[in-house]
Amino acid sequence: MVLGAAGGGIHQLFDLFLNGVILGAIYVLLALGLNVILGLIGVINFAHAAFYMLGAYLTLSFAPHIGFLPAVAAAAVVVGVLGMAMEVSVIRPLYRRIPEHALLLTFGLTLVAEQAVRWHWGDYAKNFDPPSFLSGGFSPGGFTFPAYRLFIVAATAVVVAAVWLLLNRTSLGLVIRAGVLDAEMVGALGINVPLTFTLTFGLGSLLAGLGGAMVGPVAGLNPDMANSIIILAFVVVVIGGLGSFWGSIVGGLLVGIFRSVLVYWWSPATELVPFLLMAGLLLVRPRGLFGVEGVFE
Amino acid sequence: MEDQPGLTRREALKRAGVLAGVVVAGGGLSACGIGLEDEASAGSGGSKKKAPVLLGIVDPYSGAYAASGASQTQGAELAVAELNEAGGILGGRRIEIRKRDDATKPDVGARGARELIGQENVDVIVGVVSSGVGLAVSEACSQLGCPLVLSGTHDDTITGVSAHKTTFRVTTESIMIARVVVGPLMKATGKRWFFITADYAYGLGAEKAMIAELTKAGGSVVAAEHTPLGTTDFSAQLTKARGSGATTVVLVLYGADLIAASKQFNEFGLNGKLGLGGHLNGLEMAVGIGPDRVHGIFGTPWNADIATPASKKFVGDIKRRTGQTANFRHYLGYLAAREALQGIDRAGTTEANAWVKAMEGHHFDTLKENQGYWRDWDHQAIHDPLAIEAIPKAEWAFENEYFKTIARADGDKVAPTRAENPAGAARIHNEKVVARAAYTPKEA
Repeated sequence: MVLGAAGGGIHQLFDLFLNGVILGAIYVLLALGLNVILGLIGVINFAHAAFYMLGAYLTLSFAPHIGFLPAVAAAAVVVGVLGMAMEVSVIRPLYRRIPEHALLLTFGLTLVAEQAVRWHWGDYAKNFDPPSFLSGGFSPGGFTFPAYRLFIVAATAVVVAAVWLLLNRTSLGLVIRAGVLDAEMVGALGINVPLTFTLTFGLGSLLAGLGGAMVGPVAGLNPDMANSIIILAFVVVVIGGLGSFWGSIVGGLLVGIFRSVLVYWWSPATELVPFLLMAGLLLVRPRGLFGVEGVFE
Repeated sequence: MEDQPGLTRREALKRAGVLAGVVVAGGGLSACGIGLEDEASAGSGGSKKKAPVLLGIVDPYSGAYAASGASQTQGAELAVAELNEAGGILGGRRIEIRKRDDATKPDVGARGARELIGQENVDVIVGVVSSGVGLAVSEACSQLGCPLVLSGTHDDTITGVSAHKTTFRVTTESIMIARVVVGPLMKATGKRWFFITADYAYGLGAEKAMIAELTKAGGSVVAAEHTPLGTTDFSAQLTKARGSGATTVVLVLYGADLIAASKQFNEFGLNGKLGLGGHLNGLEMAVGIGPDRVHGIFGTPWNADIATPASKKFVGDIKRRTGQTANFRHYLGYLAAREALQGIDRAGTTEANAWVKAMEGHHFDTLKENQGYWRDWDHQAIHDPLAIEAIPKAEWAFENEYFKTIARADGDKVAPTRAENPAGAARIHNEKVVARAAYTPKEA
């Protein structure tokens, strides 16, 4: 094993740090929708990974007809609608039961989705490249920033801002948050609480679909892609704090930076460290970095 | 929600953890087997129709190597169809297939093999892509006394320190590939190499073999980055490679990992700045990377541009059956099934000892320029490994050509010698085949 870098030194470490921030933005996008559903509805949605995969594959199918950016939007919306349909049909009856029922159900749906993808799109990995106007990269000072990854960072920033505004500055957001605190009271005020839950589930699913649509081209599309992200998305959520909006963001960036920078010393650590980080953090701060009191307590 | 039963945070995390474990072991759920069709059990009165020979296939249909598994199975199905059309084996017995998904996981693969032997009563097993799975399946078949021909599984230990009397391996092992690919790659790109390697049996063994050839030829290792199987982002490793002073990025990866690393090599603008190559590459990966985006020099046991009549016929048969240009996994699956079944036919029985004797030393058609043979002392198939180079779409002579063959090595010259593999030789020499429980061999 060869430890450390052969050349580069501090300059290379800085490059790895920047790369980590970009990677972190991707993790934020993956974790955000998961955390919205977990924090607001209290459902551990394993189907998040399936929605992520569907977002990627639907974009692949739509893009030749309507162009890349409209395809991303369309795929996210379709996945959001699917999420709402799933909430109404199979998740809703489980709200009164213990949470692992919903967890097992969504896990099973993920297996179904994987086989459905194999059936419709095939076993082979699909070639899906970012559109030509987003290919290439900028190289200020030697380090290459792939244009497409910068696009993901910008899009993530926009999405984070939009979700925050939706939840904190609109009446819909107010109703959602009130419904979470005291569904009975909000219902008594004449507000359709089940509908707000459905919309929230749709929002979380839409974010998963958006994540898949945008991140898919980076690593390639294959029917196994759901499995490769779900655990990491959960780790990000737990590090940031269950249900904490800003926690997902800080957690995602932390995991991204750690995974990238540690390669400077020893590559295998990149897989281990997010879990060590999670374990260590839970000992000191059992609710994660920004965990809210009351979520799953 | 008014009365959701109380679940503490600690509990919730614990349960999520358990489920995470389920996901990790998840392929197991899809591994529950599918018996193809019912068959009258052997020897049920009728003197007219002989019971069929049952070929068990263990291949990954899920997990990182699913595309390769599907191809190997298609190749095996072609071999079975050919033999059945020619009247079957063992004096007119038809061949039927039973399958199990190994999910690219050793425990799932071993369980699949045990089910095929214990419940389905298969006579011989072929398949497997991952070396980690191959080691487990080889162990299981050896313990139960069932003949096995591994299609993929390049790791040297399979016919080395972990060799088994009942196990034969069709693909050109890692050392053979390393010995054909290192020279051309060094010549084309330079001699300071930066390895990105899958952190399990195959990757580590292949990396070791390549490093041995590299240093022998005067090259040096700048760094060797080991990434877990299933890694989707190589940006940090590639960033490190860029500033490392290396001439060449060497990918000892396979499946989805190789696709992701290749895409990201392009994404980070390294193409043209650093050379690219690796141990193995094939069409199942290339179609996921895309025309004009696959670069570099790699190794393979077979390539679709081989101009022999047998190879051309094979490419045509696969195209007709699957609609695809044949990849080297189709080839390995085909060769493994054909050799395993013809071995039974030569032996005149499905009994394991007789089958092993019929396999050892047998010469066979490799579809390539030169014949191959089964080496008797380590059970490795000896045939010529190839070095291939990615070519732009404009130079394709047929659909999805992707790679042209640039070098070929004599299998006998590049395979590890008996002096290099004493452990494998000793194990094959000393091991006794376990008598299979509750099994009556089928005779001609």
